[in-house]
Amino acid sequence: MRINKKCLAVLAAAACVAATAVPALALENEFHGMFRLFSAVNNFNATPITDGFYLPEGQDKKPGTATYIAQRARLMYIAKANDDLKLVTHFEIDSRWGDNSYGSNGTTRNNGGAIGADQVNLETKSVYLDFNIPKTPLNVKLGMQPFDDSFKGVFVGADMAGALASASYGKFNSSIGFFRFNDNGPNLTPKVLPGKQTRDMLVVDEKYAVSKEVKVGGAYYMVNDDRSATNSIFHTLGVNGEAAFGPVTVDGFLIYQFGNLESNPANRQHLSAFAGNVGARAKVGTGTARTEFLYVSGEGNPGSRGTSNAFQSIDDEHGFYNGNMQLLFRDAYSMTIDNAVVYTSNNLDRGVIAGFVGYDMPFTSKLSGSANAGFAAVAKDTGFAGHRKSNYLGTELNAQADYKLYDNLTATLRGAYVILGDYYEGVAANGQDPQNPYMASFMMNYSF
Amino acid sequence: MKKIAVLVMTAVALSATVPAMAEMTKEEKDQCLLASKNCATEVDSIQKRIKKLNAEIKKGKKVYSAEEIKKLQQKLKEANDILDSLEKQGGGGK
Repeated sequence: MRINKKCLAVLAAAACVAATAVPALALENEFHGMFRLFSAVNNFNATPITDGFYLPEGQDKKPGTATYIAQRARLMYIAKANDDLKLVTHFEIDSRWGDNSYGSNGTTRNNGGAIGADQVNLETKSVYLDFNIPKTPLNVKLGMQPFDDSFKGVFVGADMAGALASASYGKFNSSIGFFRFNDNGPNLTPKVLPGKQTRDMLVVDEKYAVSKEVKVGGAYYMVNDDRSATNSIFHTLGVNGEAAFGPVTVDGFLIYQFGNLESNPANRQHLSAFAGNVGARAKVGTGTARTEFLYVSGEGNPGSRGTSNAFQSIDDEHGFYNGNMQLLFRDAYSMTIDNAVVYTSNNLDRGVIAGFVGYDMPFTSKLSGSANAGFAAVAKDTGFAGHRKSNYLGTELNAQADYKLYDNLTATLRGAYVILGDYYEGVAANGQDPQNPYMASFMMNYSF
Repeated sequence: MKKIAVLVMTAVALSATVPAMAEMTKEEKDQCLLASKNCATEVDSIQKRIKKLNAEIKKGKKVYSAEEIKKLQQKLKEANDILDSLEKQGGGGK
């Protein structure tokens, strides 16, 4: 009996130790993040000729040489209760070296690079709940979350508040969602009730895997813009596909837009616009060759006709990055200083016709390189700052070399040059041709 | 005899519940302090997790059931989505 009591005491003590060694909650704390240093010498970004779009009209033909060093950090914390339930939060801190400190210029975000730092500059990108509905194939994302269209980013790709439900069953993957882009009422004077002056998007997306090599899909986005006295509703309907033929993979999409544009009550318009893309990539030698073609419709007489053919992309909250351009289209590595000749798909109602080729080459396990060429033209000359000699915007040539210092730290050296087309002939001050844009940049990218 | 058996079992139970950081002997160097390696609280970077998941998925049905492979593939998609989200362009806002 005495022995048994002692044994029980030892076992109880062991149980206590075991209990303290196992966490009280099975919550998994996941941290991820990135840091990027971006330095550039150029005559394009951060000069008077760019404000998102490239606007050399009436400016000095030589915009000067701008040099800057900017940095970005992103921090992601995921509170994972289990495989079926997690809260995702994502934050961002941006600054340009030397820009401001102590909040002295009255701004907050994208600042804090001057001596002393101490700037309030933490931005919240995402805060959403991600959970699976028990005993169903349904996954739900609720809250401020990243969302990308199914058309390589020509329509929308941004953080947005909403609810997205997705389900995978067999070869199908379906999604339905609602997102609120804006709810301006409470910001107005006098105040309007929330929910009255909004811009919302409804999403329906379907994907089907025909086989391992062939995937097809379709998506529908309805945007209801109720922010002004009138109500614009337009629909974006498209199909996409991807097929692999041996070493070659081909993908693309076709989109049609229709509806009513009523932001200008004096000229309510019907919308009839489209966009199309085809891309291919293939193993060639030890590297990968890539090509893309993009067409986005434009409107020759914006605001002057009952029908507009100008493709409606969502503000500048999107970008077509598949051409790997640095100046002609938006640069995938740009941070807060972000400009391009073709800055949005709508492209000031002009639309765009563009083609790209590129080649990625791994030299060693640490060193790789990439070379790209791309051209762009406006689909329609709208008469923006006068009619032009030609629709041809220009051709970009660029190259980059990447060296991996560690698995998750890469140093990148890049160069890009744009040969401007006749669209810009004589548009600078005194009827001169603007200087061809160029950029040399160096980056350090760390992610974990 | 019974007493010894119970004590041995207790010792085994205890050794299984104590974290791996106790593996180090007095004579060994503390690699965690010295080189930030083999720390008890060490977690995988997102790249390392993607690498590990790919390696496990490659093992296929010899090791995992179809359901488990599907789950690993789902986790791989999640890890890739996290990396894409971290490296996603834009966010400056005009």
